[in-house]
Amino acid sequence: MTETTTLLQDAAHRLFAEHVTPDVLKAAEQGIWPDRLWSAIDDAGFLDVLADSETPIEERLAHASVLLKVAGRHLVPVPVGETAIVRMLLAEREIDFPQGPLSFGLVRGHTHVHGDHSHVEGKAVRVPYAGHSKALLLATPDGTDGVLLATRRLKWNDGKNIAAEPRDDLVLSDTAGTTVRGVSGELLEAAGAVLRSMQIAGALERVLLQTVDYARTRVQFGKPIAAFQAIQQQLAVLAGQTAAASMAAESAIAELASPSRRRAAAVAKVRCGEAAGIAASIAHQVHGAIGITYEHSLHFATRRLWSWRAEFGSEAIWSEQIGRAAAGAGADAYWPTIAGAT
Amino acid sequence: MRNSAPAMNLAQPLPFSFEPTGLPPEAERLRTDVRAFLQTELASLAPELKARSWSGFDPEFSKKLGAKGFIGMTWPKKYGGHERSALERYVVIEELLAAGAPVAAHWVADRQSGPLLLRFGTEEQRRLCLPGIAKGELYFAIGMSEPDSGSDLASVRTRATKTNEGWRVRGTKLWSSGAHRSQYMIALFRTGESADQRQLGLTQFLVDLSLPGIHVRPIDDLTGHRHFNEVVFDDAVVPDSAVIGSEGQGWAQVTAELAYERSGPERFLSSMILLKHLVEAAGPDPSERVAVALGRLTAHLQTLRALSISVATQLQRGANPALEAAIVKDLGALFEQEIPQIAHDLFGGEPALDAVDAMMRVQAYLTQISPAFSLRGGTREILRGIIARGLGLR
Repeated sequence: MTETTTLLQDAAHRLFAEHVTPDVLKAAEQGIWPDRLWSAIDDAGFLDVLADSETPIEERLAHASVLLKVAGRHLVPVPVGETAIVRMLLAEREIDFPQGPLSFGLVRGHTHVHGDHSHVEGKAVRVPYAGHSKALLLATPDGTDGVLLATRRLKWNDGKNIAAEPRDDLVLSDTAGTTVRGVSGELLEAAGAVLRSMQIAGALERVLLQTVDYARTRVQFGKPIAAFQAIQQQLAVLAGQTAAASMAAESAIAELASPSRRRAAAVAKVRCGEAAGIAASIAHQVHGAIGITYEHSLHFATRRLWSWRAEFGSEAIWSEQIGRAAAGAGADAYWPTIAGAT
Repeated sequence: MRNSAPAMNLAQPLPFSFEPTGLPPEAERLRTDVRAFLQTELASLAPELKARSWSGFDPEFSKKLGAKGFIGMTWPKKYGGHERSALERYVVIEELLAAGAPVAAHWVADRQSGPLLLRFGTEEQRRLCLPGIAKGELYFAIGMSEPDSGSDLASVRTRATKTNEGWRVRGTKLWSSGAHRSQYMIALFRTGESADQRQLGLTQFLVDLSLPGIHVRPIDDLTGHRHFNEVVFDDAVVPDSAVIGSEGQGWAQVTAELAYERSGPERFLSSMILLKHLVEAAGPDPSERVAVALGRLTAHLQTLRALSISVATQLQRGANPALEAAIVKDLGALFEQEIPQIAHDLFGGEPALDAVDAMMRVQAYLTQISPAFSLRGGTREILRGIIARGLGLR
């Protein structure tokens, strides 16, 4: 890590430790928007981490990698990543964006581009924080351009994922917005997969720390349960899954602006999604019954892991894409795709 | 009501660290050369022999690799080495293994014995061994395990007793791969008494396997392949000059030797040949089920390689990523072992070592040998114990 990323990491930890308490998480799950948290994030400049065109893109992505993993550790219940990604895509095209939360998603339907304006027809389902956002950046899965819709005049149905994070449905009927050239559905899908992968990687680190801590303090049969090999072996597996998820996510975010981004995003979502399921299962097993209560904080992480692994494409969906590409390229091309062509 | 967990310090670092790193351009430049070489050299090698990966023994191939400068790559030139970086070596090794090259003859010598002699050996031992290893002519076996000492390596009983003419050795080493075709063994013997601390009193020796009193007996593995050996020391006498490093420091030396060898590409590429057959069997337009399984394996492989390169980079910088290496080996063995199982699940063919279909021959070999992947170089349980210690659990 460079000095800048270390400073950013420390600043993010301090800010989130202060503002993302269990009470804030509980309130957010009741639908209460954490205004003080959002203002603090905005004031800290975290939302512009990807948008600052003075900084080379590799460096911006390195900053986002650190920020999003820390946000994942703290389970930050506001769309930091969504907003930062939309700001980046709009800033690159010199399109003004409203202050406040922004989000993005896929539309099943059609977009009609008329110069700088576009019309959208269709359904956008389970858009993160749509009801809380000032504007949404949407594209159809095979669309080559996106459209930015102000949410002011939109109607949506509130929805929630299993961690009670807002995931809202919108029906769009000839809705007018701003054309965002070159923001394809493919790009939004990949960005969403990388974002959720980074969050999973961070949340896995939290789960590992919390579960190791629990095993060292929980006493049964007269000793901490960490003393039992059965527990040690499980936690070793949890550590391995955490390491693999982080590596996959960090590799993918570094490639987000490169031509190979879709494959890297797919690899990350597959690997992080699988790790999420294994880790949640081990963490709950080690915690025993207390981990199943709402009162204990483990579920804030595990319920998000179960949600995030399914969002922006599950392991099966992304695996199939990687598998079809590999099979299509043939056996002789397989290793060069992994290690690089010469 | 019970209290929920006390506030956690979420800013604390994890006890392990992996950073995505690329390979340097000089390493990538070597890749072209290695691939071209392998394309020619392995053109007629049967798939089931490629599947043996680092158990395939071929002295002629080893000599050709030596002539190309692909053995002893990182060693000083004065010992026949090539003074390249560990990351350049990484590229060569991963290309050899991905292609199924028969590297077993020089494998132990290049990977473990040579580096050990460079680190702890005497000048005489280095001059005696390293140039021959680098040429692909001198082969080494490992003498660690014994009939009653597997994972519990500190319990070794083979004893070397000081005499007027050197050391008299009595006992048995087991699972010494390639000992029947190697000139030397680096063996761990008990040289001192230590009632309470078993790790003390162990010493490593450079043993010339042609000495009288040493009997090498091959042991067939479950596929019928012969690479394991039992090596009996029946009052064999080895000279004083055979002691490696310091007398009594064998345990520390062995631990260092093992830790560095847990994260290389050999820890996840052992089933690579079968994976390539799986891609071929999938065909250009696979079913959803086959595509999902293949994609998942590919995501695992890509991630394992990134983890392994990250550890190699830390080693190159002089760090000691022992915990990280244990994590890579544990994940790598799971991956290697899954491949024969998934091939069976997806295609369900009947594997046989003499099948007409090449994939069935490869699958027959790997199905049988893959249990070894989480045994050799530290069992799964030992590795997870090391990881648990790293996590502060023991």
